[in-house]
Parts: sequence; C-alpha cells; structure tokens
Amino acid sequence: MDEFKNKSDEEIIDMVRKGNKDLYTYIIDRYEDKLKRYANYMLRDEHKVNDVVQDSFIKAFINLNGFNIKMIFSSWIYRIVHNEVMNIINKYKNTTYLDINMDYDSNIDIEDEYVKEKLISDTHKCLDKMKPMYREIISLYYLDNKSYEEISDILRIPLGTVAVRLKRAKLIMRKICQTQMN
Amino acid sequence: MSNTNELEINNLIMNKVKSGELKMKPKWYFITGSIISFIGLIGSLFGLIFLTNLTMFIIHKKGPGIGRINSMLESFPIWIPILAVLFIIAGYTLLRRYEFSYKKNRYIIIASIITAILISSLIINLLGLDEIWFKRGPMRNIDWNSNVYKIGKNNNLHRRN
Repeated sequence: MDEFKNKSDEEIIDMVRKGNKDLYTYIIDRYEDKLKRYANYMLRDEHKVNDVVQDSFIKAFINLNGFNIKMIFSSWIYRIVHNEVMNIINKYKNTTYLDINMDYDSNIDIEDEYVKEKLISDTHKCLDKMKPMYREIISLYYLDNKSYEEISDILRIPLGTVAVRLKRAKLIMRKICQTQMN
Repeated sequence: MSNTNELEINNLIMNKVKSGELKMKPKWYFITGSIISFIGLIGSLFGLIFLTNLTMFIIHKKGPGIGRINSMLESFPIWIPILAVLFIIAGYTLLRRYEFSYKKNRYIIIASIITAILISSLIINLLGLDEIWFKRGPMRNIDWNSNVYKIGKNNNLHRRN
C-alpha cells in the first residue's frame, strides 16, 4: 500500500471514486492533523474540534463525486471544515470579541517577515480575542501557510478581499497584542 | 491531539465506509443539481430581460411628461421592479453556487448582469420585438385594463384620450 503514499490527493480521490474506497484512509491520515489544528484555532475546544473534523471527513466522503478533480482537494476539504466551524460559531454566537476602533493607516509599511515571526509567537494569545473572520484568515495564512489563492478558494472570496482582510487582521492583531502586553 | 483520537477518527470513518454505512452520492445527483441551477440562472436572466423590456415598452408607449405622472403612477406595474429585484437576488444566489463567481468582483458581476439586461431590453425595444410580443407573443394575455391604454381595432396600443 506504500505506493499510494506518493500519489497526489487528487489521484487518490479519483481511485476512491472508482471503487477503491479503502484508500480514503490516506486522505484522513494526510489531513486529520492539519484540519484539527485549523479548527482548533477557531474553536478552542477539543471535543468540538474532533466532532467538526470527523463530520467534515464524512461529508467529504459522501460528496466526493461532487469534487472537481481539476481543483485542489486541500482547498475543498478546508472549505468543508470552514463551513462546519462557522455553523458552530454561529450556534454559540454570544461570545464577545474585542472590537477595537482603529484607523487603518495604509501608509505604515509593515515588514512582512518580521510580522510573520512576531505573529507566530503571539498568535495563540491574541487569536481568541479576534473576530472569527479575522482569526480565520490569520490562521490560514500564517499558521497553515496557505497562499492567497488557496485562502480565496477556501473562504470563497476574491483575491483582493483576501489581501484587504489580511491587512486589517494584521493591524487588529497588532493592536490586540499591544493592548495585551500593556 | 492524541494519537488515540487520530486512530479513533480514522477507524471510525473507515469502518463506516467499509460496512457501507457511508455511501457516496452518485454522480448524476451532482450533474442534475448543476443543470437545474444553470437552468434557473438562465431562466432568471430571461425573466429579467422580459420584465425590463415590458417596463421600457410601457414607458415608451406612455411617454414622459409632468402632467402624466399621476396616470403613470396609477398604471405603472409596481410588481415588475419588485419581481426584477427578486430575480436579481435569486440569480445572484444561484451564481454564488458556481465555482468561478467568488474569483471575480461581485459588484462587477452584478453590474455586468444589469448592463446585459438593459442592453438586451433596449435592443428588443429598438427592433420592435416587444410590439410583436404584445400582439402575438408572451405579452398578449396581459390585462391592460387601465385608464391609460386601450387596444385599437387593429390590435395596436393607443392612449386613451
């Protein structure tokens, strides 16, 4: 079965769809940790995270024939988890998030690499205080190392919106972290 | 997350898959869904073109004028723009289902749809197709029982004097 380890996700999905259902275990192996980490950034509850990831794998399997093999499977499965996470967040809507009024001064040129390192170290402390839409984009870009294209596919938003939302998220994040340090 | 959890999730799902408890929806299910959505989208667009053209037709026949505002308001089919807005919402909802829609700017998509509808309606109006529709086509059954219009002997639309 080791021969399948070198196959791409899309190739394995194609084989699963053609009847080799046992190969779906490779997909679960490949994505379980990543999806749990992603869901954990958003939910911060191990039980809910496990439920979300399990349900997502089940939904993905049921709808596997609806997946366009020419697209990236990773974005598709992340999209399913995103929807599941959002359902749970909407279910427990009463959580309050820190809403900082700030002016988005675009003249400030942020050094991307510095911000990246700084953000990774502080992220876990600050993420919980951000609104889900900003928390999610920060998680995907900085913690899951997703590209703008992939984020666009996962969140179903245009590339321009990804850039704008990420920029806002970084500013909000910085503000929250600064407030937290003070 | 523990390894036990990982094994549990993997085993649990694979057991369900192997036992047949989990089944993939067939391909035709998705193909049918796509076809229905596409037909709905095209239908919405045609409906919008028809209704916009109908509005243009009425305005064209009625003609603008300050003194006619009351009579225009009296006979103006308010349901047309309401339906048009509903169609736009329905069309946009359907459009979002398509993979490509989120890759483009949604405002450009909406603006393109509205422009295409207005241009199509204008062309239909300029070619006089709406006159034909009014006589023999889809508009022939519309009840023009207002104080503004009357149908002449030769089936032409006339303003009441």
